[in-house]
Amino acid sequence: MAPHALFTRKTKKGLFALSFLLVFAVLVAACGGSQKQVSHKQVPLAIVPNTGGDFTRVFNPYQVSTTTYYGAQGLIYETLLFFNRLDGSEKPWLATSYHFSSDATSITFTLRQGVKWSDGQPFTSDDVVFTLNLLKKYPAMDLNSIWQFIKSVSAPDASTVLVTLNKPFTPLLWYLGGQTYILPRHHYSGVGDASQYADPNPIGTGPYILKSFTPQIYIMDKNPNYWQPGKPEVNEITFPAFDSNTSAELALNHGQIGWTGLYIPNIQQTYIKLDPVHNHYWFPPSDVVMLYLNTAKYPFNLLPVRQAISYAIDREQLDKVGESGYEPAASPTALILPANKSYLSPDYTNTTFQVDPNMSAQLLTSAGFTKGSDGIYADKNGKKLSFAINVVSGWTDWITDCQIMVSELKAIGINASVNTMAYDAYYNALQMGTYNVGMSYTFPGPSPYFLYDSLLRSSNTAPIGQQANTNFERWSDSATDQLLSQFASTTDPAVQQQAMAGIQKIMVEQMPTIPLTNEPYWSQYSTAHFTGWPDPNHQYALPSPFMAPDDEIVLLNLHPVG
Amino acid sequence: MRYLLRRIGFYLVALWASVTLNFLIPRLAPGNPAETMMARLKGKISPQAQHALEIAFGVNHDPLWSQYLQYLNNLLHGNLGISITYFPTPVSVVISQELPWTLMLLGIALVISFIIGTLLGVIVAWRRNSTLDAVFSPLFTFFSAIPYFWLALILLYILGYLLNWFPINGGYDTSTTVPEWSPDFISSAIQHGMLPAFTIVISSIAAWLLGMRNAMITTLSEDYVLMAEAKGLSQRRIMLTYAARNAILPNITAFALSLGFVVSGALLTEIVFSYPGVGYALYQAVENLDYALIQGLFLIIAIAVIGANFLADLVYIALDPRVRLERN
Repeated sequence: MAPHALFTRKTKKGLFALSFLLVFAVLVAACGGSQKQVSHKQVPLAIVPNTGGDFTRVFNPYQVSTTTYYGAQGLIYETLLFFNRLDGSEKPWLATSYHFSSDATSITFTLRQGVKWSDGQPFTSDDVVFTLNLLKKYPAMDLNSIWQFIKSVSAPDASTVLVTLNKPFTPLLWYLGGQTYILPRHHYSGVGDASQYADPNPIGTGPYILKSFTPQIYIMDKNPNYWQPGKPEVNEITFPAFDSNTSAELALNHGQIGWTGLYIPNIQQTYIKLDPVHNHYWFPPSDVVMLYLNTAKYPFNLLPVRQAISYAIDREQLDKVGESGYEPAASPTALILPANKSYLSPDYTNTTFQVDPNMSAQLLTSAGFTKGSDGIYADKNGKKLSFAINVVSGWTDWITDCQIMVSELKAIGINASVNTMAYDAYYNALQMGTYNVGMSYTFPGPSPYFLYDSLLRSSNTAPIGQQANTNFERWSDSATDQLLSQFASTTDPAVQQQAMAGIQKIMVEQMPTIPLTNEPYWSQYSTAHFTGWPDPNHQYALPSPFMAPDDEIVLLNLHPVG
Repeated sequence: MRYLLRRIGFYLVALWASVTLNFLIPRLAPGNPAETMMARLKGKISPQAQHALEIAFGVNHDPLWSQYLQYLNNLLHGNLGISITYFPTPVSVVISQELPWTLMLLGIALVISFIIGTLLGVIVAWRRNSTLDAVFSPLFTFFSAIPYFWLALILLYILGYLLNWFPINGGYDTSTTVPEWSPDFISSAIQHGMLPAFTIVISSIAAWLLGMRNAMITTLSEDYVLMAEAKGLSQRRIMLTYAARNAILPNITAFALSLGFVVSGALLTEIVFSYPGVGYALYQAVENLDYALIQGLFLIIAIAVIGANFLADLVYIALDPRVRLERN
């Protein structure tokens, strides 16, 4: 009987005893967990910038893997300047000042005195020159292609850095001052190929230092050597790993997360209502979602067709039905308002999109299209006005938007349809120009120049079949290029203003792409333990924890409650 | 012995074939990793970064056969390459940090589910048409018929979120413990693993139960069972050594196969509970065209499946005298 001992009654009892023990152990553990220390120790702030699963120990701020660059940029490694993308203003940071030469071909940075790396070594112009030269040596790290514009970098003395450009190019300041994270020479010079270096134990000038790391959570403590006295006031921050928004949302509702940037549908009901005093969100506009029409193809090269499509779209419907009311209609100028308000041309202060199906009909008729017996417009050769709108499968809000647009277009006599694609294929079609119509985002910056430049400059496009980085609609117009160059080559705000007004005129009158809605920066936060967050009345930095170095500015403005 | 050698030869060929497919299939997908990464970051970084990423990820332009030879050579030296998703972390680090979680959670859940399911299968077949049979068979079939994702979400929402009986996410309590061999950590890990394991067990038990039940019913009608009863053997002995031992063979095969697939992780469980594991890493690897990580993970899966099958072969030899006799 020995082989069947497992099934005898005696061992069954044993199994029962074992499972009781297990349940008991779990209960004890559960009780232990709920007895939170009621000391006056400050609660750590848990931040979830994004949900991407477990982390790996990578704190090189020039590694843009999908997981751990949050915290390395800004909290550990800092920039020379801070640009507030909500109003275009700039703040001195590691550099106390900068000035352009009168012909805009060189920039001189004066560095802050008394800044130390977290290991106690002084921060000097050597570090800045080293960092910039590192980006030249390893183009894989030069994420903003700044060396396309830089001729040379030098340090006349320990607190001055001179960057010489190969042509006048003022927008470089954003990438150079606002998005280049300064590395310590003594730490990075010995690591070999820095573009392949993970930097597991970072040494920065920023307000936080890495305290501990596991794949499920990493913890940062305040840097005692930080150059702003008394800051940061948040002693400890944690970054827990989450695989999905649903799971992070439950933790947020349980108060386990203090700051995050999730897309949460129906946020009033699902988050704010749980604790209306402490739970908050703020969604300022980040970029313009566009309906890209491939202007290298017929009939999208015809302005009346583009305008007719635009007149058919009810952007308020997109906002209300497709986007839970988070994405107000875009400005016809493609400016992000109110962030770019100072650049808004006086001609367009009150210009908004109108829904006007009659206008669509008139435009199509004037362009030689006639309505067939099936109610669909066709051109003189009988070719029907018919196209599919490409959108990414799984991006449910955009799919809803496309379905709304399709029904509106059908109503005016255009046979549109929705084409959901895997995003590789979708993005590839946009870049290669092998699409007709697609819904996609734009690339913003601290001034409207960046969105316009990526969207409209002819050097950012390519013929169909070749890769266009950002100018997906394939707009190629010398007047546009000239205006962009005019902005980029001067330091005179009045001339820049004029250039931007010119581009707005092109956007409104020639409609290279069709602006739809303003996509927001997502952010949710709780004031239960910390206050001082950016909100509509305090627009000092972007509120999303995934935007750097804004995350640093936000943390430096927080105060513990009580 | 000859049987065993032949099996080993077969498994070596199978391993080579899977390693080769492993190399080929990811490369048939269109696109390149830099483009995919740009799309995933959705405008959060500047458009110029695409060029930098292409350099960083070092797209290999050698002919395919030469890449294949490099790949085999690297494999033989245990070099799995660098992951792009977790750049610049080596694939071996990613796997070693995720695999233990998967092995523990799924391994334990599988064993529990197999034991309970098979035992219940034996019992309900022995007492078929009893209340036991009428309750358990449809009940567990019902649970397995509910889409797992939904079942797990509902259980998480009710048992974890509303009732607070279980933690709602993670592999352990990150605010009080760190991964180490301490009682605190182990009890925290058990506590966090219980709900995910429970959802896996109740959704998978039906397969074991029904498989065992059906095999038992067929076996029970065999002459030797009748003979055992005629000999007046005890009911338990007939049930376990005459019927169950013969009926369990198909379940053993299925168990071995499942054991092999344990290392592929449980993507849905990981997503619902934000539980660490290989499934999510594999998902990310596929999303990001991370060839190195895909290959590394599939290699582990192939080895595990082939190893588990080999194990099943050995168990068969032990359990089923017919296999031994035929081969000798």
